[in-house]
Amino acid sequence: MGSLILLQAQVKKEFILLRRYFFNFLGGFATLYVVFLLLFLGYRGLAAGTDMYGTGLGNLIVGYMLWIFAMTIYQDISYHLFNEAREGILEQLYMSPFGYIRVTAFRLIAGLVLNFGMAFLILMAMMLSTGRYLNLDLISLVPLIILLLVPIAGLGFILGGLQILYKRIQSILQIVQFLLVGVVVAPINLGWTVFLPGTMASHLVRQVMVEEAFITALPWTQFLMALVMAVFYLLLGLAIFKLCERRAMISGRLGQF
Amino acid sequence: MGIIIQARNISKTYPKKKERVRALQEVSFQVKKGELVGLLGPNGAGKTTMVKIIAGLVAPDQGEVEIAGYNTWKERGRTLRKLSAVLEGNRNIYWPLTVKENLNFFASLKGQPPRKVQQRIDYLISKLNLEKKVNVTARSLSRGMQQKLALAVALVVDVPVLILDEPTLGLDVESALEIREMLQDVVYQENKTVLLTTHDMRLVRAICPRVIIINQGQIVTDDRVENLLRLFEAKSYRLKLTGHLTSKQEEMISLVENAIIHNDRHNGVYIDLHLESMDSLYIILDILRENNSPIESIERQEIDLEQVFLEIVGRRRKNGQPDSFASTG
Ligand SMILES: Nc1ncnc2c1ncn2[C@@H]1O[C@H](COP(=O)(O)OP(=O)(O)OP(=O)(O)O)[C@@H](O)[C@H]1O
Ligand SMILES: [Mg+2]
Repeated sequence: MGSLILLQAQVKKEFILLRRYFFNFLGGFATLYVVFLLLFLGYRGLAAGTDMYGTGLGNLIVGYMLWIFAMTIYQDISYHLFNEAREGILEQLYMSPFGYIRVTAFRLIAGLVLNFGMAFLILMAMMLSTGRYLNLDLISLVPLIILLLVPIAGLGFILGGLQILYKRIQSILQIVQFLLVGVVVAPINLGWTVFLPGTMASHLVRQVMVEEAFITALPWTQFLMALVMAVFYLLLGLAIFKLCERRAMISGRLGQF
Repeated sequence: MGIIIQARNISKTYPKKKERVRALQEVSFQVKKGELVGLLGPNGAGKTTMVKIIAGLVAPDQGEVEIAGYNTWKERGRTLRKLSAVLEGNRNIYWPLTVKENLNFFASLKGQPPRKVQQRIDYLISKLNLEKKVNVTARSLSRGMQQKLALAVALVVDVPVLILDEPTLGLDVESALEIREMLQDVVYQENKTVLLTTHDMRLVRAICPRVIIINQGQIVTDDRVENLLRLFEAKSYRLKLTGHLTSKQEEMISLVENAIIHNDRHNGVYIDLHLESMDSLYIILDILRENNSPIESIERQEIDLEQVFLEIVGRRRKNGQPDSFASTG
């Protein structure tokens, strides 16, 4: 009951902020789209006419979309926390009886609708401008995308926690944000890459969108692996976050930026 | 008796690279339901640390705080349902949200659906004169307005305990007055309990019947303001002289503890004395007798809370010099 109130409030706030900063949203969208076009032109110059052109392009589109997903959820935790701390609201959020993690988790869920919307728009724009149409089987895709987002959220909590403790780590946050590209495009046949957060799930998404596989046709071991990694990184993230939070409360640095 | 805030034996040392900062040492106090208590102390005394420990934002090294019987550390969620806090500075609200949106959002954050608190929101907005700013983002409000909004946000749901860290710091007289009145209403009409830190002695004088004074992390006084004033009034004298003092006399008097010589062009020479014991009065009289300096009058001094405060925190210092502290009064 109480949680529902919190969720509603977070949805409402996200919506208000989207409307208030709509031009930022549009600007973000335009930037992402232009970057994609540049990637696409580069790719076409290299690969046009080869056998792999269609699959490669599909992978490029999917990889780009997944990167946007991953980056947004990651930023929604780490950068948001930075802003909340800088704007001094962090301590007030900590004084919610729901606890900061739940407050943040609900904001993420509220923001997810927005993220899906953004990713969908970009995907449409990409498919329209490249003429490469991909399999949009939502029944297969939604669970897989969630399996991608959950471990990345765990990663976000790890860096968010470190940030509470060691304030000036923005440059590391940025580096990790670009490393996410690697995480979502890494091939799984290297073996160790399946242990990266979200890499297995990204692979499965490609199987669905590019190879047009239905979710039940995916190897269950891979699915299980994606699930295990999701749970593992989420729990790791929350544990590290709690630890950092505790340390920050001892050193009195929770709200200091 | 209805004790609602119970702090037992709180100590806090901040870990720092070079030295360790002892912010609080074995601090204990109780606040009864419906009390309005001022927590005073010079800069760095440990007030904010105490506030944050009560709000569960800083972990004490030892000791515990209970709010309405719930332990702030072990029963965090329950305690947080019993209290709201406005922390130091102007950052207790969401800057990109409007006044109304902030109130709605924070009600939910405390677990109340906005529609249930609409009446309360309207009341707070009109009481704090925020009507014209309802749809203005917090970012564009003046400092005073932001502080009023922060207070409104803390009061939007009905919690029994309100903690405020320097609520009137940097505000103009009018805003400070509105906040002061709001706090009085909250205590006397809604029977809430308020603990506030401040350097503003006028605020304390106007609304806090009781003060706790801390200095260097320790409670030095916990008493009703009227008692403190009475106590210090009885011990404050002003000796007015008709003639002048010799430099030798001046030198000797300046050695007497708590005696201050004033050489005023209009009022002539007078000596202010805060008496620890009657001894210093007799010593001064002896010094004056040497030259047969005529005494015009000896009066008991009117004393204000600010002087009492300086006396109390000054007395704890080894060299007897009061610590400088920022007064916003
Ligand atoms: N996070 C921290 N890390 C290290 N030392 C701290 C920290 N916060 C406060 N201190 C130190 O602890 C002592 C008490 O600080 P506190 O902020 O509680 O004082 P205060 O009474 O609120 O002072 P003021 O009137 O200036 O607000 C000070 O010496 C301060 O420098
Ligand atoms: Mg302070």
